Amino acid sequence: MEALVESEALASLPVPLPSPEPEDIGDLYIKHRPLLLHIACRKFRVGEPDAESLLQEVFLSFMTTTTKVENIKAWLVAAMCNASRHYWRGQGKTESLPENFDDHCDPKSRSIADQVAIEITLRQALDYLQPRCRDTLFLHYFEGRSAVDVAKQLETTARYAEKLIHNCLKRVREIYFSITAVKR
Amino acid sequence: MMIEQHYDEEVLAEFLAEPRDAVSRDKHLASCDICLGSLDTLRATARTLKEPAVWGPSISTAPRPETLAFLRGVAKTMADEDATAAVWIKELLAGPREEWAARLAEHPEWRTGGMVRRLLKAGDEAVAIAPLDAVTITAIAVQLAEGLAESAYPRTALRHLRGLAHYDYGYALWYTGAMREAVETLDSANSHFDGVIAAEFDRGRADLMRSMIYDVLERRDEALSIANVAAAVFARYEDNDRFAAARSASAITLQSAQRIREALAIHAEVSVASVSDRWKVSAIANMALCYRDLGDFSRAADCLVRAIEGYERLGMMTFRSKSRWALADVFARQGKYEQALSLYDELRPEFEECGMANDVAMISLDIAETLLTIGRTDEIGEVCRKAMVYFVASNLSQTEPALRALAYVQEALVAGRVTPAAIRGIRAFLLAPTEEPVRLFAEIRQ
Repeated sequence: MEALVESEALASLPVPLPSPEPEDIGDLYIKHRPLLLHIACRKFRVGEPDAESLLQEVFLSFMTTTTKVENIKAWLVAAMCNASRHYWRGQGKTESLPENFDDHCDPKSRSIADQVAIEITLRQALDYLQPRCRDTLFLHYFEGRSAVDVAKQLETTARYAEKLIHNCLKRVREIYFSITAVKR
Repeated sequence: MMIEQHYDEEVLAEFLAEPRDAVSRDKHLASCDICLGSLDTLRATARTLKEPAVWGPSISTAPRPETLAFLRGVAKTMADEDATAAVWIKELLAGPREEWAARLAEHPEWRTGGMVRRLLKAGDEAVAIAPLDAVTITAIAVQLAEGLAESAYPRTALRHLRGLAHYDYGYALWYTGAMREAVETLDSANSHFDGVIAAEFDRGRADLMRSMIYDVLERRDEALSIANVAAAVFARYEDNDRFAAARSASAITLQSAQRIREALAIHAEVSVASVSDRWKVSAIANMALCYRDLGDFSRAADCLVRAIEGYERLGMMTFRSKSRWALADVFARQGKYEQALSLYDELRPEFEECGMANDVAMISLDIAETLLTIGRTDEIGEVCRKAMVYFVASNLSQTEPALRALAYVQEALVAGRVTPAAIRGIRAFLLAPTEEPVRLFAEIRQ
């Protein structure tokens, strides 16, 4: 039930708008490389050099398949996920993998490509923040620290830390929405 | 603080740390869709900020020149091969199919990946109009792909191409009804796909076909399991139409197993899914068959009317005719014999025009059966005489037509209008359909 609620919540963030797919395989590689590498390296913890090799294999298969691909980005993402899983099976990985290792299978929920696009965009938005703001969000949201703990770390009052958490969240969202907004 | 009667983000952010039921306890928030929507996006941001991927070191976004050069090099080789193969394929496939393999043997320079791809394309184009040609074409593609030099192509691309050749060969075999041979060929396809880390999608296509074959072979549990695996693959690749195809394959297997209500639920799900109209309309037509089998003729008729409209809109006239036929059957089951006969009479010339001899014969039996039911037996002879002509003309096998004919005899028996000699005559006719096609139903008329 909780997973469903999370999925619904995720569906509420805007995804960066897709652009038309290029016909040239090189252009396609350039366009999708960041997303696909992010999936292999961040979601599946594959090292970047190995991820690049997997990426090459994925594009080779994309070029080889003789059937019409309905959604190129989704195809590449799913193939990259499969290639990453295949990679770890080959490596005999024993440490835990992300909870969404097997992907979801519900076409109605947001796709892994969209989720990753949100992560990449949010990461980009974080780069625009002041270091103190970034640290605040890191401590509170990523490390799960309370406002009191954040205050101690930043050597300020708990009330100010609370204010900082809210303001920094607001700021990163403003940047996020400005990145994903439709440009006219 | 309120802005235009709504909470601002600062107030909403307070709810992030609260239990979820805090929302329902807040009078405004519980009933305000705008604020609930804003809170959802806040939760999404907060949740995403917990992901390690958001905080890790950035990944180089600059493309690797060597990967770029490799991919563009492969693409160029493929394009060059395809262009040359476009000329060769016409030469290869000239004349009768019995000559093609020998001609290929005379031209070792034709043994390229491009030629395999062209053959697969040619097989795909031939399968619906000349299935036996498609079998030969794809068999040659398999032979050619298996013989390609390992050193001339990237290893995984070659394995993938070989898998695709076997898959297409299997498809052509399936189309001609060679089910067991098709299964063996799909096994070969999978053995190639298994060695390719990004061939999961094509493996899914092979699984979908295998599921349909297993349904025919009455290996239904396996068919269902494999169709579900294929559906999961297509969902991940966001190929909605193939997802619908896999779900429909599951439903059709459930229908074969007489699990009609489960099948109906899946068809209903596909009929409203985000898929192309072709799949929605097919799902509605299949829903009709489920309702019919459940004895809900009214709903069956409603669905068939919708399917007929849909097929007409899509220009799928053969499917439209089949749905009209099913509607006529439903009318007959509802006791609306005149409406059924009227539709049957409209349909028979349609099938004749399309050259669908088997269907002409079958619908004639339906007409005869309906006429028998309503006591218009004196009209049966002429209808069935025409059917016999079609049986002979199309060299029908002894399966479904035979069963229908026997069903007809049963009806005739119930009506007391059949003699042992007539039954023997029907049997003799079915065993040797070229003999005296008119005699069979002339005897039934006695």
